[in-house]
Amino acid sequence: MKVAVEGKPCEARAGESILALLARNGIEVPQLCYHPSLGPLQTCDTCLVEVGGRLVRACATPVQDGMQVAAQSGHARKAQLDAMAEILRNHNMYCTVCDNNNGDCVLHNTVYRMGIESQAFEPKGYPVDDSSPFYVYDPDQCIACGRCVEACQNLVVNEVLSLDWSQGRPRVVWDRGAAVDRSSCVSCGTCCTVCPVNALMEKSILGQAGYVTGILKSVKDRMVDAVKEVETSFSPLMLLSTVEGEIRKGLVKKTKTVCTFCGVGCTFDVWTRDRKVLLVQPSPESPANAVATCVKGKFGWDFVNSPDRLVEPLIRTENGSFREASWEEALALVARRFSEVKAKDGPDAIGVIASCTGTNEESYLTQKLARAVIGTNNVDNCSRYCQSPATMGLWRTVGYGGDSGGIEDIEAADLVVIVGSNTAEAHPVLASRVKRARKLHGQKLAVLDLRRHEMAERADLFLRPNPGTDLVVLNAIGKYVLDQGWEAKEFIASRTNGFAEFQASLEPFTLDYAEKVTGLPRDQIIRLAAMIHESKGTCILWAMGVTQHQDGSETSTAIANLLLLTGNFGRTGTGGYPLRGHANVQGVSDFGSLTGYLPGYQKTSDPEVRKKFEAAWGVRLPEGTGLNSEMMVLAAEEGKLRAMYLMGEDKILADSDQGRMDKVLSGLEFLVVQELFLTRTAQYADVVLPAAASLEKEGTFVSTERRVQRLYKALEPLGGSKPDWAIIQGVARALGADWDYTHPSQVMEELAPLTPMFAGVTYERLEGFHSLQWPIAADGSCSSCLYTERFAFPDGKARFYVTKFIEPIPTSKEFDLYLNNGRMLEHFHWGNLTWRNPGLVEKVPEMFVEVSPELAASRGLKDGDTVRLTSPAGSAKTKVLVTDRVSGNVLFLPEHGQGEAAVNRLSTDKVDPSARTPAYKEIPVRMEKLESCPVPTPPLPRTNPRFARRNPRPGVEVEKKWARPDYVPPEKR
Amino acid sequence: MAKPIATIEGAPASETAEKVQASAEAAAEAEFRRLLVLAHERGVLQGLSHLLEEPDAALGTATDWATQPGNLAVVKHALRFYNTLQSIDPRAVQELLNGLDGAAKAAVTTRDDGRVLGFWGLLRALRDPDVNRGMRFLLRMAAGLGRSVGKPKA
Repeated sequence: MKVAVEGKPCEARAGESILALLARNGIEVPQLCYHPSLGPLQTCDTCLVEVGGRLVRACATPVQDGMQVAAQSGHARKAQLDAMAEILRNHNMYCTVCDNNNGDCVLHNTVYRMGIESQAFEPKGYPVDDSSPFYVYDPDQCIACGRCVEACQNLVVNEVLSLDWSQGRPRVVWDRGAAVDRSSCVSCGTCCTVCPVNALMEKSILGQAGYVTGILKSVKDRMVDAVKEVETSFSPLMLLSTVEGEIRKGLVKKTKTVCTFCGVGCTFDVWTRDRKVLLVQPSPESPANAVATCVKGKFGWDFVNSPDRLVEPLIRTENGSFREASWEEALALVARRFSEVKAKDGPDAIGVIASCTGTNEESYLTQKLARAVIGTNNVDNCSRYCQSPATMGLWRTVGYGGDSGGIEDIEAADLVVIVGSNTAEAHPVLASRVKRARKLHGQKLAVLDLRRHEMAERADLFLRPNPGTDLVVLNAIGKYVLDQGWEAKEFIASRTNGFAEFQASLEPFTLDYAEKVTGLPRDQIIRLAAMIHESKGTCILWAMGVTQHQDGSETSTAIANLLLLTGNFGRTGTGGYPLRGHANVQGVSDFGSLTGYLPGYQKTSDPEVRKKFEAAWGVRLPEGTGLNSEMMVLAAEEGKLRAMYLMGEDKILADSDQGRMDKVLSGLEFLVVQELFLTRTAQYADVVLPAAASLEKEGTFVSTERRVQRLYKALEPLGGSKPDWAIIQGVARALGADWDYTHPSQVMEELAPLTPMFAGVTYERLEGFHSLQWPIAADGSCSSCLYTERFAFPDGKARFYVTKFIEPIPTSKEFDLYLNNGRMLEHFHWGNLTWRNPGLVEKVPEMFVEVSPELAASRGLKDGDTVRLTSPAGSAKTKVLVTDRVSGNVLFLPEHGQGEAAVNRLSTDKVDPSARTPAYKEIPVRMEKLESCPVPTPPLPRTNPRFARRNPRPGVEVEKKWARPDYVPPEKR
Repeated sequence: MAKPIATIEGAPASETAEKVQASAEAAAEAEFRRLLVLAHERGVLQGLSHLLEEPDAALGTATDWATQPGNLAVVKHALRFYNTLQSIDPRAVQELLNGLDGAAKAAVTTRDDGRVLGFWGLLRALRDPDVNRGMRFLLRMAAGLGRSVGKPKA
């Protein structure tokens, strides 16, 4: 297409906006409300350009062939200046003392480049809202661009913010006019990220970003007033603030990293000043999250500088305490004791557990230490507790143990089915994609869960089966599909094996049987079957609600079977997605810290594979499979496992049956724990090695969508702590190995040629925000969507796998209630990171058990009462929260408690027989009231967003602005 | 049996301190220490420390000073002067300055014959092309001044 801009011809692309055309040709026009992740909002009118004598908004006007655009002269320029004057009526410019002027303040830079010299600021008179522990809203600085509203409503779809265009001076409101801290705001912080000015500011950066921004507010206000009194032109001060903003780059360091919390793999720049974490700033180029974050990723980094951080190695003394020691002494002790145990009882008397929040390089070195230095295959990782059954199910059916597509496939699906996952709290940024697809594009959503969580509230269909019966639901759907002739016949014939046997295995799963076992009415099962049949593409997401059952592997397999049956693999917008809960749950197994597997899932039992690694490492490798994490516990009880090396896993809290774990850890001859804090597990150690946080090291993670991404070092390790890879090397060298890695990139250079799945991974290919999704060929090519041509089996075909239903532990007369458990948005894992964050603790200060209203009424319970929960394994004590998120005799206890409310005081020793994952979700309990709260007081404070009601809106609703009597449309300017 | 413990005894000095840097770095450190001593002897460090410790007081003082009416007027004048300088055409200023230069030189170098100049003498002087040109320049300046002064105030 040919267009002319300022009389000069330009090539235009079909479908692009005038704004995009101008940007591509280096022609600047102001654009305050436009954001690449949000699209055109049309609220600021600063991008007005003249086309054929008419003023139009460049952001929202597509180019047309033959267009003549005047962007920087005459009428257009005047219109832009008028729009800027209106913007500046709403925002007081004091850039030199503003924490937002860091070179990227949209308004400052626009004013400077346009040469605007003055403003006629009029305060709006609304008070500052400082109620949130995380951010502040200053309405007097708000230019009502609506970016925050659009982000909240249609990007992360938390649906809290709106713009009140009916007010004399429009402003942003939370819910229907609540204070921030009394609203449904989940503190994702995305509004702060997209705000182009300092109206929405993260509290952590206030007073920190500039040389003079930390002045006392009363003095700052007087200074600003004094300057405003005398200034006749912005010019000198804009020069000063622009230069100062430039100089600030020497104060504030910006480092790209990958979030350390869940497995979505959000990436962002972390801004630091010395050791302070000022803020987290995601970018449109972040592949998994763009500009979205959740409360933990955006605001949850206080733990990095916690005074509780371990900074020196600790050695247990005879008199019941730890003493600090040097690294030389600690590593020498570790080497001596491991050698003694090995000499006495053999290398298999030692077990090593890698961390799911350690890097890929650290996983590789952990398994290399275990296999090549200690001489044992007893190496595993914490995915044993949660994700191994999902991996098992996928291995059995499609070949690769990972998500079969990317997050964009989930967003593109016609139907998303969520089974056993509280996605909005455990994987908030991923859930945003589902919510967005549903809200903006009509994607259908079905949820199977025991709890009515946010995704269940939003679902087109919410099924609440009896606990532990998901497999029956799925197989009944499969049988119904077959009975109706809805199976994907051509797909099955050409791309699968084992169909006949599978079909026969579904015979018992009639609707009658399913109704009886699951408690679901048959029409709900039929409806879900119909939804899958009618959809053009279905994705099934699942998590611990499926995997932490005795039949976790079976149910995961059933999910894959159903997807194969309906042809929902190998195409965009289809597939199976086990949602990995930790930053590197996927990678720690991918890179070999997994029983029975070397890096890239190459079997330790394969002699050719062993030979390859023996040649590379220069040692003879042990044969056999080794013990996984759960088997190590059994071996320790039998006296066969005498020593353990645990990294980044609070095993006493994470393993089931805490009483049993206490005996196991206490009974070990030698225990080494590598951690950031003196966790409950570290308190059992003989030697504690202080590890660096993720912000303090380099490396790579693999996210839930198989995406390999780099993290860069933002801070030096605190005190004497070291990155895990350096510590593991230290242990190896103390044991006589000649490792001499000086940087994690060398580890990747070593392992990539040995690991076909990661053959093409190099640090250069992962520079900045670049990423690769495995499998990655040697030339660096890869694909988000798996199985488009073949499944990961020798003949390229998927395999139906016959499943069996394992009945969950039943309730009984003695233990008549069912205890479910899981994650909360505000906390992470066992809380070692998040209980140290004042803002998060303010939102969720303690644990509680959710009790349904009907159960509370029948037991005489109310909010705040203290109860004891007792299971066959032990007991716990906590407060009651009455809520309809649970129903009947099903309770819910969040998993983040460490003391008396720790959930694994109650879990039993039942496991998934295939994956050996504890059946954490199968806990029958009885409940006794211990103490009555005089006045019903929920253990969750009223400032928790769960008590407020969201305010769904279509977005900015700019039409309301245009309808205001004081608004002059462009055509009339 | 290893009971869990949560107490850490006081720490000895770390034996893992890094070794002293190379001699070039040691020399740089020595020079930096000398710089610090000099700054201290001249009171620079103390002043900076005070400013950093109590910036609000200093800034508050400076602000209060600047907002005294007389001082405020000075600052306003200075800024107005700055704005005026921004808007003046340098070429016009150059022409004026050249003219003043010529005028000054002529006044100094041309001999004054002491005769009293009456009305007719002025008219005769206007016939001199240079004098006439000079008068026209002055009249243009007067017109410009009059236009500027006569503009309605913003």
